[in-house]
Amino acid sequence: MNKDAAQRRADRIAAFRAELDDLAREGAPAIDPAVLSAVAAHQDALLQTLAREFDVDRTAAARRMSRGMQIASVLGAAALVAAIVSFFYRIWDALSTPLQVSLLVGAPIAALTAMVVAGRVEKTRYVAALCAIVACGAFVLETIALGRMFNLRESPHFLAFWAAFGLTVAFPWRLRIPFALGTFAVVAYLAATAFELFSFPGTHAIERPESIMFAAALLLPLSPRVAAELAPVARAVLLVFVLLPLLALSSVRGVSLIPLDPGVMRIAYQIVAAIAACGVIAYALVRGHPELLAIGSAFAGLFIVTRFVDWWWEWMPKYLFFLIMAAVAIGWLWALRVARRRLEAVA
Amino acid sequence: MMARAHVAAFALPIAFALAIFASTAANGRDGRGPTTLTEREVTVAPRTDDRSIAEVWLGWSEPVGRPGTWMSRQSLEALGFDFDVDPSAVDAAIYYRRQLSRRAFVAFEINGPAWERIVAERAVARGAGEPPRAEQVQPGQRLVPVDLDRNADALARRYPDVRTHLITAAVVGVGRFEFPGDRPYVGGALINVDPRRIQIPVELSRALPVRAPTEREAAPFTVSLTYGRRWEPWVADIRLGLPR
Repeated sequence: MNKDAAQRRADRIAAFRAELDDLAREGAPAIDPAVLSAVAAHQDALLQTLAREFDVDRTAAARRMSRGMQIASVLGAAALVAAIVSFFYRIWDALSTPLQVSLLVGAPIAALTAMVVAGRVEKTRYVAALCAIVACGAFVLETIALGRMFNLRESPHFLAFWAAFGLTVAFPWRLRIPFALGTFAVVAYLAATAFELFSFPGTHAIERPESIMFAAALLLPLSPRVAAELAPVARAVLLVFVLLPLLALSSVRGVSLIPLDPGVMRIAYQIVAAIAACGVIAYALVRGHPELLAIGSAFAGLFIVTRFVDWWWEWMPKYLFFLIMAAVAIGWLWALRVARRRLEAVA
Repeated sequence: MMARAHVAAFALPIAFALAIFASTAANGRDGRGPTTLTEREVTVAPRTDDRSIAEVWLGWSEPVGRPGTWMSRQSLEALGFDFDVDPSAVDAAIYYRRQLSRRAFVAFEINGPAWERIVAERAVARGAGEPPRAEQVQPGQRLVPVDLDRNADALARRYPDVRTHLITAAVVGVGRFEFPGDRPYVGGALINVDPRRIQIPVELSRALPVRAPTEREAAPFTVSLTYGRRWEPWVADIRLGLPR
């Protein structure tokens, strides 16, 4: 059992107890008190075990607190990384070259050490997760600063190092943010290298987003192969890097690598985007992936808004434009309700 | 016992540093140079208390004549650019705009005949009839690109004098140019040099003039650059004052 499974079990126990309370208040037929007592004792023991081994949240308030702690952890890590970078930039000129190199190499190692110590001392691993993000930031600083110190020419290979670092930091304790950063770096590395192999600067991956889209699409089928706790992160990151480039390709003329008429390509990608939006949402509903549903719905909404603006904003009366947007949103809501009823019927 | 992945994570910062050292070693210390540049060819990056890194940026001026014509069609085709569409064709602008920029090597002339032609052209444009005084010229413009090639060694053979020509890796593109009263044509564009930003080792940075963000220029200085086998530069020397 992992932490996510443990939390789901704790949530089901809480829901079960709340339902029993509601049934008692409504005067529903009573369940044998001896049975209820035995079940309650079993569940209490189980919750204690889950709390001890996985630090699950047993109440809604505890869950909100955990969410707050996660946000604080991320913000704290980002601020700490900014502080480290700013500190290096300030003291740089006062250090000899060997000392500069030593500090740059030592910073991510020090953050990793703190991560390992914190992870062994504190079972919630919030501090360890913070240290992991700081370690990733310090490693990025090392790669960029060393490259500039020795005036190296541009190369995409540092992205491979970023990917390796993020993934090796993330895997043992299933840390989500380093894993997301590592996954992004893998996509960026594949996309940039595809250009560099043919003597094009790797930065074209940004101007020609198909490379990012195809790299992410290639990796997406592999996402179920990672650890169960990290699979949703892999799916989410890779899907974002499939859909965002698709949104750009469907909106902007002349950014496609395919040597056909730019207007034709834009329309072709609009058709692909529409199909992708429906496909992602349908897949997410059927497979029960809430993160894919959220991303697919956001993408569909953005796509529809950009299309409406592109088609109608210039000439349509503004009240009519927003009225049509509202009608589409309501229609979308109705369609999702129908889909939900059908899913419940199947379940 | 630490997980193997964590062990790998600890090793990566060291591995990366070793990779950098290996790359620097491959670049070598016996390359092309030293080439002496002044504040008229490089710009000092501003330094503040919060940003103490000493850097200079290479800058250049486009040669006189029609933009993009200093790159010959043969040299651009050798890099892989297509010239299949007539510049006068309806879809020519889109065709040439869609071509991706490419990596190449560029030779810059340092304060040579190409720069003198620029100065003469400016004098004519001002209608003064006399060449401008030196202090009227902006820094970073005496480097003028004169040639490009896919092969850096071929460029080095054509321009062997390190005192008059600087060779560096670059990114070049093509575009369709059209001016009133003139037929459209396809020319090249020097998009960037790599690296354009050159960091000064801390052991030499004391000699580099400090330029505050509010100042336009730094005090006169010279910087000696050498480029290694991988065409990555290092700073050999910095001196304040005018070059001898």
